[in-house]
Amino acid sequence: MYLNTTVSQPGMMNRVLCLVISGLAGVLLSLFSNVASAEARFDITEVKVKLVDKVYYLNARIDFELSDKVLEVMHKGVPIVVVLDIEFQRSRKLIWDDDIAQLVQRYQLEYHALARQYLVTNLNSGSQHSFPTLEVALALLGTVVDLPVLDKQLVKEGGRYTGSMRASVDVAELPTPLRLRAYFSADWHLSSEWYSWILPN
Amino acid sequence: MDIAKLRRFGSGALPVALLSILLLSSLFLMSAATQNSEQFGRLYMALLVVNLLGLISLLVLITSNLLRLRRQYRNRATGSRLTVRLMLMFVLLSLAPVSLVYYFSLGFIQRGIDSWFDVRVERTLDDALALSRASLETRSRELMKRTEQMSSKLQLSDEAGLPQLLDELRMSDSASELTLFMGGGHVVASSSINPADIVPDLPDESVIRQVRQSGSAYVTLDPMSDSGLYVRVVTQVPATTPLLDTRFLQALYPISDRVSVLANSVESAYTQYQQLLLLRDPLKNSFILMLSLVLLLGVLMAVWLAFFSARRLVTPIRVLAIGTRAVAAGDYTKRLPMHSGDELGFLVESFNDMTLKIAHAQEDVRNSQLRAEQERAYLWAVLARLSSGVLTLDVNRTVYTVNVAAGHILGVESKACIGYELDEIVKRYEYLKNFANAITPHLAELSSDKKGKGDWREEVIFYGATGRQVLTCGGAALPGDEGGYVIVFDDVTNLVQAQRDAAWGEVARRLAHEIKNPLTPIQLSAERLRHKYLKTMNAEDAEVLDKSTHTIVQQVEVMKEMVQAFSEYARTPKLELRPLALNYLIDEVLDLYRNNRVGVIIVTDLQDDLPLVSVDSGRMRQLLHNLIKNALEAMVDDSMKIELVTRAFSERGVSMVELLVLDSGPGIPAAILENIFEPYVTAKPKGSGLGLAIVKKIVEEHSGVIWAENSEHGACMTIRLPVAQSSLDDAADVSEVENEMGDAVQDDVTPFKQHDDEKV
Repeated sequence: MYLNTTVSQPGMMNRVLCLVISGLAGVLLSLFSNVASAEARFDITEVKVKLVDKVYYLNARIDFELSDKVLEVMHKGVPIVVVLDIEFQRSRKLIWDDDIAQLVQRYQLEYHALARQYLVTNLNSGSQHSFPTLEVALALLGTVVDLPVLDKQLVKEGGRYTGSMRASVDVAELPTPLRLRAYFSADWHLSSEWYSWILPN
Repeated sequence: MDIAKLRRFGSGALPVALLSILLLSSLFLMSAATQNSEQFGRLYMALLVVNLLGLISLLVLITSNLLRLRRQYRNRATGSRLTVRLMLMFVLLSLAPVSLVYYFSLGFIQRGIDSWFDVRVERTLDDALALSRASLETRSRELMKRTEQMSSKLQLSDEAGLPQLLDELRMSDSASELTLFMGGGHVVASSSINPADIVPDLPDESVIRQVRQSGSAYVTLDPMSDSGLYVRVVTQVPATTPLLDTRFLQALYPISDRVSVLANSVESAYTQYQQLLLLRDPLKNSFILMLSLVLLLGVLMAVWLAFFSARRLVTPIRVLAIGTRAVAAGDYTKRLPMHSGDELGFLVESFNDMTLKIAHAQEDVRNSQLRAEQERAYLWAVLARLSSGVLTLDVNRTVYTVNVAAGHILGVESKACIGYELDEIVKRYEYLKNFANAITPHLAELSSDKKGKGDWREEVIFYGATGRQVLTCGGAALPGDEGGYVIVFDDVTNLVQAQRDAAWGEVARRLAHEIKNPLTPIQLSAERLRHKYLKTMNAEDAEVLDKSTHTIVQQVEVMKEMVQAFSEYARTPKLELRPLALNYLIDEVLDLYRNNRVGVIIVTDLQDDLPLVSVDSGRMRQLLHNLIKNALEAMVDDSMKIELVTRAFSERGVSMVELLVLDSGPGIPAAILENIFEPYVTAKPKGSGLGLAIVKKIVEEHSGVIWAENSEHGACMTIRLPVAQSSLDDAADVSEVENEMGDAVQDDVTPFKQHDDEKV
């Protein structure tokens, strides 16, 4: 695992596009009125950030519960990409908060039919692990251990900084024909709430 | 940019072309994206949204156009019907083939994608996978046994020799990695084919737990991302003494490259087929969506283009229709804008030429009309100032025009006659009967003689409002299709009279002069003869002489009187006009006749408060004497009566006093009625023939009129004299009249308040 911290302003066009798409999806979603399976949800249960040698490390525990539809697709050999979005902001009075860092961790979960194994690949680092059961694979996926997320240099003294994290399935990585349906289906809208915490000094 | 400009831009060809190109290219990209090509795959959704937005904007455009067209259609705007028809035609023409293609394409997509899938292929792939698994499992079991043997070897080994033993075992069994570790994950010893791998890849805790519980080895096939398939075997190494923890041995065996490649190939083929099965419906939907989008886009663009081209086509026609309507409404100034050089353009050009020519013709007509009106006004002004009366009638003898002079001469209101037939006018004004009778035969003659060669001229005498009038009439047929007649006449009454009067005056003057001179010597000579020879002659001769000279003297005396009368007639003394009460004068004159004649009854019917007349009292007395004498002379017996009537009346705004002298004699013979006022025109044996001539002269000197007519009982002389100006002024103010009556009239005038019926 290595530090993958990009300091950037998100592209305006992307934002607008996302807005348009999500707006459209929202409208259509309400039309389709699909209710996601009750147990299918992502939940961040615990996040801990510690400062060691001027680098913030993140430990987190996430419960991944995939919907039947997602599992079906995965067992047919389609890799599912799970994304961890981690953001750091400097709280400001009167005006909006200042984004200081964004970090995206991507994991791929797939099923190997021949070996009957679940493979979890960290797309950022390329490391791969195989697991005989899904539960074990998801448990590993849901455990973030000592992920370096932020350089202390970016954090100024006396500032109030908050971090937030969200886990979600990246629908855009699906094969094109599936993608359109996934955009409008509640089965695929698997995402946790944003989990926020205050950055310790 | 203001709205009009924007709209003009929006309705141009350029934005349509741009929009079409944009949408088509995005469709192309989307189609590429559907083919799973990497770079477009990411843009798929964005392209979809762009296309949808494009479609929506096209829809909005078309809807607004449709609404506008509907509004125009409802308002029956020019050209809207044609636009609708053209548009429907275009849309139908484009929809029909597109729909066909769409229908068949849908079928092709369904069948095409379905043809990828085959039960046999699926089963074969399943079998291939099972075969691969079976083959690998056989190998795995073999490797498991070997690992278990290794495990028993390791059990006996001491701690210090473990690494070397592991190396030896690894090399002898061709394993890629051997690791001996504790249950908690602590590595006791490890040997790897790749010395760089310091940290061994340990199995999950659950695996260790499973091995510990079951006591048997755990075998699994492990796909490594970078180095192909491995067989992982984990087995327990039983502890030699109960004090020591159980240790585990993990061995990783690489599958040979050839088998690995084959297995991978089977796996990926299986996976791909499974994916395809999964994507079967989404893929179909994707293609159908794409096709539908293309179709929609095509159709909408066709509709829009239909609008566009229909409007383009209809514009010149609409312009023409508007122009035609304007021309029909009489606006010839309309010029249509030129749109194109084609047949429609030629039509527009011709239309412009036509309206220009019509406008010129219209202008000419208007000018000539104006000229005609000016000429008419000019003619009318001339006619109005003419002293001659001009009357035009149409073929039905309806009065068309009457000038002012004609109204005056005929004594009618000229404007009130226009539009009436001649007979109707005669009914209204009885006295025009003579006039109408006189001209009717000429009109009949003119109408029968179509060529109108006979102009006619005639003297017409009729009794109008002002008495006897002599008119010289002339007439002709009017030229032109409508025909009609023009009658021109002059009132020559006064002229004729004046000529006659002047002639008679001259005769009288000469006669008086020529005859008066020898009369006195004749008389003197006769008296001298008598004086000288009467005494000397015998009684018989003396008697003859006496008789003769007496006759001469007497006749000369009569001649003198006659000459005196002539000179009276010829004389034109200066009039001394004074306002006078006519009744008083009549009373005064009648006094002279009341005593010297017996058996004649003179009756008066004099109106009270008669207005004063401006007259010379001496001349007026003579007039009355002459009239009364004339009436007395007309008496055939003594039982007759003379009546004098006065009354005031007003005709056509002129106040007049009328005096009627009526007698109960035999009346005036019809033969001389017309010329009764001329000298020596008389019906009586002993009259001088000048009495009435003098009366007429006096009346005319006082601006009056006189005429004679026969009533039921005898002759009737009517004299009309204008009322004195002062009397008119008085009438305007009653109080003034009363005052003046006190000052001037009461002394002079003896009012005749009673209707006298006296026997003289």
